Amino acid sequence: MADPDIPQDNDNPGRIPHSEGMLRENIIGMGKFSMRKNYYPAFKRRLDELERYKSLMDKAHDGIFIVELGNLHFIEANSATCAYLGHHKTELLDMKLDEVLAGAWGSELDEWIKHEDSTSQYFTFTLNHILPDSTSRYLEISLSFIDGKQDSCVFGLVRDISELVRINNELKEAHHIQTAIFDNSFQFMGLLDTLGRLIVVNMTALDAAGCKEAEVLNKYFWDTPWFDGLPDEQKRLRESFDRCLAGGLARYEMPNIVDGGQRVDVDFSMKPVFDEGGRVIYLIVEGRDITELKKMENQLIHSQKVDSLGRLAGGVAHDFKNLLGSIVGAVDLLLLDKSLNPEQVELLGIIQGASTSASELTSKLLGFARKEKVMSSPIDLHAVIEDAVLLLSRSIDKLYSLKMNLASTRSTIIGDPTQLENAIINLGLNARDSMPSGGEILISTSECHFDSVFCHQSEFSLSPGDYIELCFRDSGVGMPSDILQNIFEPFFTTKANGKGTGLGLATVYSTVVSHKGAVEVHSEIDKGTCFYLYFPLEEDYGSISIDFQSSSHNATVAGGLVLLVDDEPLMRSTSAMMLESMGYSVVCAENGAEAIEVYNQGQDTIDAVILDMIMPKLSGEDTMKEILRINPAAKIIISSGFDENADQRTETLSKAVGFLHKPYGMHELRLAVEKAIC
Amino acid sequence: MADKTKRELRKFLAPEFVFGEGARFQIGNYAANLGATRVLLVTDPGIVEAGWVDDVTLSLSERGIESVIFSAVTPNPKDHEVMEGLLLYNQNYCDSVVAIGGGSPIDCAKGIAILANNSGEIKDYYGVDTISEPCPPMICVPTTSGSSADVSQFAIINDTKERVKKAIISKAIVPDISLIDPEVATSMPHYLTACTGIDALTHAIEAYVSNGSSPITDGYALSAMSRISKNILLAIGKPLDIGFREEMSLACLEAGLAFSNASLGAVHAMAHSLGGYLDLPHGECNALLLEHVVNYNFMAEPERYRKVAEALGCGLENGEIGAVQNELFAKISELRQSAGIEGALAVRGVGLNDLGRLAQSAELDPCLLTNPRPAKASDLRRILEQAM
Repeated sequence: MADPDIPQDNDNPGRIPHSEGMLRENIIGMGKFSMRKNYYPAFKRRLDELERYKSLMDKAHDGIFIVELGNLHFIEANSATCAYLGHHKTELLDMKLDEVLAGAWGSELDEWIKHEDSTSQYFTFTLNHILPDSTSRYLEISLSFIDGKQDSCVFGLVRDISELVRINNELKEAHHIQTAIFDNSFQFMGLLDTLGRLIVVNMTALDAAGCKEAEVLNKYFWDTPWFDGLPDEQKRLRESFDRCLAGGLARYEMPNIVDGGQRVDVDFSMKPVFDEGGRVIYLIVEGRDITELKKMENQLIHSQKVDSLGRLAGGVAHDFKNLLGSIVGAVDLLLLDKSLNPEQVELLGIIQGASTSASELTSKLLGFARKEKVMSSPIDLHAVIEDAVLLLSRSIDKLYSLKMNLASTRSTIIGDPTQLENAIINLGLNARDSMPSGGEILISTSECHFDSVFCHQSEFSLSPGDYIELCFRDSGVGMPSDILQNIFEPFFTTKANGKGTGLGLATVYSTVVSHKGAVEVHSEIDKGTCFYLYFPLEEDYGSISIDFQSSSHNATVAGGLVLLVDDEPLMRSTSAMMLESMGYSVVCAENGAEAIEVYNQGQDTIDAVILDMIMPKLSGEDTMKEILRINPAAKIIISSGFDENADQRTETLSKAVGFLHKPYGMHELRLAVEKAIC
Repeated sequence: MADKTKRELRKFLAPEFVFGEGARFQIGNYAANLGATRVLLVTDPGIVEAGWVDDVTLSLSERGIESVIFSAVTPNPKDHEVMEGLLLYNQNYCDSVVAIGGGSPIDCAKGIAILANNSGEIKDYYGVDTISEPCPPMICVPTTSGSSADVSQFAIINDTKERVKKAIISKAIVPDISLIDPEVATSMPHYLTACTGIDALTHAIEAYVSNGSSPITDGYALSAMSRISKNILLAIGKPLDIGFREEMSLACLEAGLAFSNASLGAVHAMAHSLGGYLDLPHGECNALLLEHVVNYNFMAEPERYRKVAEALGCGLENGEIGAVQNELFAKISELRQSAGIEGALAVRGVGLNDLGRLAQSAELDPCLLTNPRPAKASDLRRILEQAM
């Protein structure tokens, strides 16, 4: 047969042109394609196509399925669907969608699937699908309607998003951690873009300014509330910004405005963040409120200053007291001489008076420096206040009204009533001086509690617990802050030269410290000043008053053997002479070892021991321990200019029967020895 | 023919068909076997009114097959009617096509079937053998004994833009099954019986003298001619006599098998031209042209025309050939007029100034390719003038 594609009409000579010849061939059924069309090639193509689709479906990582619209029976499902839902295909084709997904089948989905004309043609949801083998995985299922040849169907896609969920959770967790750090840092933190606009800011910074994130985000950093009304700082920030944008750093102290318009000191820094190419993409700004830190630093400097001054004063005072002791003792002895004329007696009286004044001044020096001996016994602070107020009211003018409101229900503290009384009197005199034309002084007490955080932050060494607050308020001229900062400094005074020692409030301070308490002061110009003193409250034992005045003043002639131990030869001889003049026999020892030896030999005859605490080699305390070992009932009187361990009274020291405070005179010596020997 | 040393290759293609009274009731069974679930049923309002459609849909529904009826088909089916039917087919997810009617619904159904599986518009498939994909299953129930579209590879669609009937000739549009039921022909009126009968006669004669004829088609063609000449007037006279209707149906089937394989000639080429231009009934056009074309072709195949004359019962078995030509011309003319097809083209609205254009269109019609005597437009115009 002639190929119709090749021009060839040799068989039809001349009758019909060749193209018509081909057409004729076709009409009579002899053309290349002139045959009845067969479905088989098309079916085969279609089958191949179906095979391809089937493998596409089965190779797909996502699940693909079709369910009947009405009864939700599975019609088709690929391998991934079977794996994700946890059923074999044959099993699945016997099941219904709402049955397989029973756990996640909510009313919203039910509603949607029952309305083919639902407003949304798609419905997507996620679920944590529990497989029949009890494992679970997160699935995302999308459903949509498709129009089939016969009935409409629901077409579904299942995607395993377990990994996505896991990553998402990790990201969330990481974000939480970062946010926790970021927002809870003490630092103010923020991030600026390269135009200087604030794009991220932490809660600490926002809380400080008392503003919302939206109020500051995307604002130029220097226009934010932290720098309101600080044009110099705004200018400095712009300069720092330019420097950091060029890769530099900035760190300096600056004032910030915080909530309420208050100024705080901030340790500020700005630092560029670079991308991989070394270009600046962000700038980190940080700040830390160092107001408290600075305050504490100042207080630390103050207390160190006081401490060193105290050591200096204490060291001098110790020797000075010994010297004064000798002078007082020698004068007392001279006065016993009846042959002195009245002029000589008068001169000796002047020496005695000056020595006493010198001794008091020394005591004050020691007092603020905490070198002074502190009696530590339970006392009623209210009683002390009442005593002090009584004294004050006698010594100040009627222009001043003194009022008390001792409202605290508890008032027992451990302390030294003399020092406390002294402190109150000091405050009273201070108040008087601040009210030249008279006014009101109010002393009140109340209870309060300090927790551990407060104690930790305090400049004073406080222990958590209940405290009594002693408030001392005047209606005077008040003090400006620069003076307030210095009032507890030793030798700081605003009074005219010679009118004040500058030790009054310094002593108050050291008294408070030695009582493990705290002091605060608030002052307003022309309104007055208020001192708050805090002392740790003790359980109420009932106050024990020590009566220093109970002993007889009569200079009766006594008898007995006294062992006098002192390393100072002058002190030793003066005291020995005073004791002998009282009728006592005296045996001396110049150090601890000698004292022990003497006591060991004469323990049956020695009635009392006067023992100096501060001695080279063997200390007073060790000596005392040894003597008590020889004779537990030994009567030992401690003598000292100061005692570093005064407020840490040891078991040994507490066994002393008396205490002589150097410099002591005849009177004190007599009382102490009489008391010991009786 | 015996002296021919070389014979051209010939092919014969026919659909499966069921012939006989009540054949239409087989449709449910055949449709089910072809896998149909919802059919597009293409018909025209006359057939619906005659009740044949109900018979068919009932049979289909008994096998659970739904029917979507498309009955907006007019004579000389238009290209846009094909598109309307296609839309209905797609909208209803039909999977097969059923045609009940004469040539028009069947040709329209073929157009729809082509486009159901092939893209584009119907004009893309005009011409010969242009269809690449098989069409969906197609079942025909012919109601006229004339067109033979139910067994042929032809579909003629009226291109309304060019006002020309275009032939689609392809083995792809030979239906799968034809259910030829003489009973449905009883609803045809006299004149339609006449026109379709003469159409069938034209098919037989043109196929027989076609240069694509073969011994197989020759037998069917001669048998059809003989059967028509004997029965056409009886069928017209006794429309409800099932015997004559059966004969005419059989003749039509034979003619269809012949021309579907041997193709046609100048009568159809000009009839398509006329039908497209003036929307004249196809059978009527054939009837008015047949005797003149026979006259024009006669001397190209004189011995074949002698056989035609014999089949039509002209006598003169061994007569002189010129006498046979005259006798044949007279016989065909007489048969036409006895059947009631009077007058000529002029009285049917054809003007002399239309003839040039009609001839030109006819010259391009593929049916002319198998005409035994080549004809140019001028020859065709002369024939048309004779038919005025």
